[in-house]
Amino acid sequence: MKKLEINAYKCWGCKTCERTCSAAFNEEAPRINVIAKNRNARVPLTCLHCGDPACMQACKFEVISRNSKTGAIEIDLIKCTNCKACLSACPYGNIIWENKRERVVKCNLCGGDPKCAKTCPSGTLMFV
Amino acid sequence: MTIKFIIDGKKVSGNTGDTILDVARNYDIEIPTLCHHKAVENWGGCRLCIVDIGHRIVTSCLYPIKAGLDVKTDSPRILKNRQMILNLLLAQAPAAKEIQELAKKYGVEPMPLVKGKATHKCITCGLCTRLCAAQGAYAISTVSRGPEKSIGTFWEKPPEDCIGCLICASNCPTGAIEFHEKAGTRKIWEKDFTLEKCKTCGATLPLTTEQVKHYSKRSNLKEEYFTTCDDCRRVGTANTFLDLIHDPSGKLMEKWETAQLPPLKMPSPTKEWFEEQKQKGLLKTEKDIYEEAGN
Repeated sequence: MKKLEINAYKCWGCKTCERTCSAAFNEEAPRINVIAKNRNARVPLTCLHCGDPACMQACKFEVISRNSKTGAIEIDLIKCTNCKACLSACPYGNIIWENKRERVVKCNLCGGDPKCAKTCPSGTLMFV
Repeated sequence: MTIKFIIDGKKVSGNTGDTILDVARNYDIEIPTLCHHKAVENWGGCRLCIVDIGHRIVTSCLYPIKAGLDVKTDSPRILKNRQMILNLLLAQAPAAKEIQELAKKYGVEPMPLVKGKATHKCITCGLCTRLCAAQGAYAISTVSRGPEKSIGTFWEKPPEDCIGCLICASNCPTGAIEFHEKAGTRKIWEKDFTLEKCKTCGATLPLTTEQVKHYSKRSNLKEEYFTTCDDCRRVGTANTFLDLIHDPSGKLMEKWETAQLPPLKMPSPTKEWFEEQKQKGLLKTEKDIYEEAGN
């Protein structure tokens, strides 16, 4: 199963990944965030699809599950009640409150072919 | 077991236990609903999802599928009944925009009925009460019966059990539940709450104190998980990644794993990792990346 590698030492801070992600979701808030201006470095952050996710543990409605094909942790957006339990529980801050449609979203690896990795010019994001 | 039947002349199939609405939604066949939400049990309260199965009209959110069913979502009988239901809902909740839009969509001509209060939006579908129960708070329920039935709290007082999570207000189909937020406080069902503040930077979080206690207790996660704001958590994660990067011995990564923190599914660029990647021929040069992006 492929994984999205984040080789943060290569990051240019251009935020192309953020714009690609936003464009892929109809100009909504991007599911990937680049933390720049911190310790003179740039680190892109997105859902780490943890082995034992805190978000899954926090959700009471069984809305979060692992996609068996891609290995990604996914939120069922129709079933989600937007109670923000998962958003608050993620220790890495990688679940996003999408302000335009007022709902909780997160990276789902684009169903197995992440677009951010395709457009990253520095080789920071690689889907291997 | 797969069950095959027909909706609006289209061949569809579903599994034992599915309702007609489940299957219709899988096939993108439109059936309007108001009181339905996948996260809680099917209720059949608003009656808007009715379909015609030939000898009967049933609510598609409750009727289990059977082999050979011939379902119609827009027979003349259904359209007439749906218009009547929307008329009644319009009269009950004159201020509900969603119902006015549905009424327009299905060509409803308003009937002279006794109207509710002009500002009333609630259709007493009970979705809020089921979500509140599923959250484990049980703060609101339906009160009284007949024309006086409404959604309320115990003895009409501010509910002790409410945690201020807003799950009722966020999911109400007509936006009938009001809440107010200002200056780090929240008020809903006449109960006042204080919003938590980020332990690192002091920013206001979207959770109340009671909400944090409730979420951490039921999910077995420490309260610290819930009391840092998004930005501070992301900066913290970025710092952790940077520490891992600048630790070629790999000892920090080991500490991370033994502390049983949620495992990072990404390799840390230690010396060993670099060697491994070089051997596998996976280390890309900038030239390779540009060429690939160019296609």
